[in-house]
Amino acid sequence: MEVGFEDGVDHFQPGDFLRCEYSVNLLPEHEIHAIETSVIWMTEGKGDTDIGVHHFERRPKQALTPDTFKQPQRISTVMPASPLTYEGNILKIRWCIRVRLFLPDANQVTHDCFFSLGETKSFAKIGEEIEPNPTATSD
Amino acid sequence: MRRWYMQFFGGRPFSGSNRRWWAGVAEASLAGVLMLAGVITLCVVLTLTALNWVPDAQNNISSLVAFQLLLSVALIFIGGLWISRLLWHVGVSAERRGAIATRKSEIELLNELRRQRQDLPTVARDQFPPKVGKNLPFRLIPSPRNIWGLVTMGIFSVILVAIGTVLSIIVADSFGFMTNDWFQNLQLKMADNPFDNLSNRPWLAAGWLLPIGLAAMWSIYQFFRQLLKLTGIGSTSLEISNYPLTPGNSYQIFLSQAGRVRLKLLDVDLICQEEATFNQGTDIRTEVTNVFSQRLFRQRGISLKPAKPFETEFDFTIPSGSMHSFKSLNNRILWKIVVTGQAKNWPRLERNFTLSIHPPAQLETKPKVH
Repeated sequence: MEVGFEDGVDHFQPGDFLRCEYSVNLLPEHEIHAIETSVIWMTEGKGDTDIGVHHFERRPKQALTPDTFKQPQRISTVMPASPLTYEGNILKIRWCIRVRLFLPDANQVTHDCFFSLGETKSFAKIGEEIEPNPTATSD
Repeated sequence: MRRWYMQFFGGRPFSGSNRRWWAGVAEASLAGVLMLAGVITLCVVLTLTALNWVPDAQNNISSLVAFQLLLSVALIFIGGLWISRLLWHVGVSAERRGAIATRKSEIELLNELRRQRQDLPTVARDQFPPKVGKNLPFRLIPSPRNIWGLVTMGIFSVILVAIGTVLSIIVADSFGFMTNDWFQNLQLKMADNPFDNLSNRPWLAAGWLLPIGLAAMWSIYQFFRQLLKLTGIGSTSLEISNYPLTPGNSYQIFLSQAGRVRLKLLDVDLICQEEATFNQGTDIRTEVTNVFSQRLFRQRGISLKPAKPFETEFDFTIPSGSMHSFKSLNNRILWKIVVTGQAKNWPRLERNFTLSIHPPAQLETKPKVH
C-alpha cells in the first residue's frame, strides 16, 4: 500500500485543499472486505491518546471494483483551522492520512501518512526570541 | 492585643482605611460569633431536652424549648447568610457592579465570541467567558477562589463545638456544677437519658472534654483566619482590549487590585501549560507542565486601600508562532494570566485568568489548492 501527496507537499495551512493518492497492490489470492480512508489528528505524549476525525470515507466490498486496485485512489478535503501541528514537552499533536484495509478473518492493515498543519514554533525558540519587557522589571 | 495590632499594621497608626479594615474584621467576626452562638445554644437545648426526656410524656418539648430551638436555628441561619454575603461582596464596589450592569447592550460582542468558538471545536472553550469591561472592552473572569477550605473548616468547627457543648453540660451536671435555678428546675432524670453511659462516668466525659475543647478552639481560630484571608485581600480585576487573542498580536491590559493591605510585590505573568491525563493502574492522573512563562508586569511596595484600588495599564504580545489553546478528552494546552502578590503576614495572593488563544488564521472562504 502506498500513500502520497500531490506534488510531494506534506505541509498545509488552515483552509488549504489537501489532495493525496493511495494505491493498493494486491496479489491474486488477496481479498479485501472494505477500505476506510480518514484524515485525522492525534495526540501523543504523556496523556492518553486522543483522536479527532476531520474526514472519513468507507468503501464496502460492493463498492470495490477491479479498477480500485489498478489505479491510484484520491482523497481530498479542505483543512480546518485547528488544531495545528504541535511539538510540546508532554504533548504532541500530529495530523495524518490513515488508510485501513479490512481483510478476511477480521485482519486489518493500516498505513499512516503524516503531514503538518500550520506553523507553530517550539516554546524554547519563542523564549529565545522574546525581548525583555520594561514594565515587567520596574520597581 | 498590641502584638496582634503590630502584626497586621506593622506599628502604623490608625488611618481611615484601617478603621474600615477593622469594620470589615468586626463584621466578619460578628457574623461568625452569631453562627457559633446559634450552634452552642442549639446544642445546649437539645442536650438538656435529651437528658430530661421522659418516655410517654406529653410535654417533653415545651413551648419555651421550641422557642429556644427556633432562636438557635435563626442565629445559625443569619450568621451563615451574613458570612456568605461577606464572601460574595468582598472587594467589589457597588459602583463597579452598577457600571457593568448598565453596559448589557454590548453583549453582542460576546455572542460573536460564541460563534467563533463553534468554528474551532478543538480550541479550549472558556469555562468562565469574559464579560463586558469598564475601562477596556472585555473583563476577564478569574478562576474561582477556593472557599471549600473555609466551608470545611466551618463544618468541622460546628461539629467540634457541638460535641464540646454536650460534653460540658454532662460534666457540669455530673459534678454538680449546675447550681443555677434554671438548671435545677430542669430536674434531670439521669437514669433515662441517652447519655447515661457518659453521665455515670463523669471523669471519662471530662477527659474527652479537654482535647475536644482545644480542637474546637483551634478550628474556630482557623475558620476566622481563613475568613480573613478571603476578605482581607480584595478582588483582582483584569480587562483586555480584545478577545479572543491570536499569536503575534499585541493587547492592552488594565489591572485593578482592591484590598486593605500593603503588597511587597505584585507580579503579572503570561503562562502556557500543557496538561496530560493518563491512566496509571486504577488511578487517573493529570500531569501539568509550564512550557512558557513571561513576566508582563512587576511593581514593589503597593498600598492597597478599600477606597482606592491599585490600577495600572500595560501592553503585552502573544508570541508569534505560539500554539493556540487546545482541549481534547485527555490533553489540554492552557494559556492564562497569573496575578501574584506578596504581603507581610498574609498568605500569597494568586489569581488566574484563563485566556482563549485562537489559531492565527481563520478558515478561508476559498480553499487554496497546492
